[in-house]
Amino acid sequence: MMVSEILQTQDELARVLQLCLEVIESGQETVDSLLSRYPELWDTLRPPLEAAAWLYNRTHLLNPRPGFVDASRQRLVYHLYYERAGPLVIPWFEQQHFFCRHIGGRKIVIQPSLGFTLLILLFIFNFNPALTIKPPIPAGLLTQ
Amino acid sequence: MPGWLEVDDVELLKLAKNGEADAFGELYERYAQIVFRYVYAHLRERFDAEDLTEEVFLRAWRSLSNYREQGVPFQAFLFKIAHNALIDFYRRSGRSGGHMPIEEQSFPDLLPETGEVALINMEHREIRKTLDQLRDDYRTVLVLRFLSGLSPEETSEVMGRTPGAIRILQHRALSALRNLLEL
Repeated sequence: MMVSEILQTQDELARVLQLCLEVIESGQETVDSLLSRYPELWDTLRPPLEAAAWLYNRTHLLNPRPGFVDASRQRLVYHLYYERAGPLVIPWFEQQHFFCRHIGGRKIVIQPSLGFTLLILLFIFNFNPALTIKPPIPAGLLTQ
Repeated sequence: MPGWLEVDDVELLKLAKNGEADAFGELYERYAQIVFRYVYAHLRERFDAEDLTEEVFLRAWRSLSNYREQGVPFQAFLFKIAHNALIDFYRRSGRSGGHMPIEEQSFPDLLPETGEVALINMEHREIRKTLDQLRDDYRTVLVLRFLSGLSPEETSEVMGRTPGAIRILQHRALSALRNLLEL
């Protein structure tokens, strides 16, 4: 037999197998019922069809846990929105490079927006009215 | 946009390329399971497969500007990314590439498993152990075709071969698998 004929036979066999697989996958027929339609190819088609059936029967073992896709979709979309928006940036501060220093030859950078937030918190803490009210009677006078 | 189910992949991709994260979320919903199966067929731990599935889609999102609808179908695009992500995972795990034969793996102490979970894990190991004995291209074609459910045409896009070559490869791979099975 010529090589081209062998290749043609292989291709035809692969086509028949593919047709059989599609029929099995659709649930119309079983391996046995299908093979009975191709008695002349029984020996050739049976091994691959049995292997395919073995794989089909185990597909569910590789499914993700229930709820994984929903939960991870939400996580992913949240992450994408965050990534698209980028970190909070206050342009004026970004231009000033207030928080950029070279220490020991290495550039140390504090994100300006973070520095700005820290400054505001420091300001609020220092001028908190609750902390600045003085006691009406000096405790020292009563204890003398 | 409400009613994502009615929107086809091409439209979702256009929206996603314009930065619409919810449209990409819908694509995730449609393809996460088959990507997960592909990844999990190569990995031991379910949690690694979950992390890697998310990483695949994150990489896809970042590469969307390079994706052209006229070229490779989206599924093939995703599976190529998944393939690269697996290689990177092996490298991070201290391996030079290729898959980790099940015999070489040491199983860590696991938490007590329920009967059903233990059975599923055992069967998962059995699949991996069997597939690991096959040639790389045989294993890939079987996972893509039968576990991830891609058509021969889609598989051909992922593997860079013609659909005819994929049908022949699938035939040989199935015959090789049958020789390994004790049915």
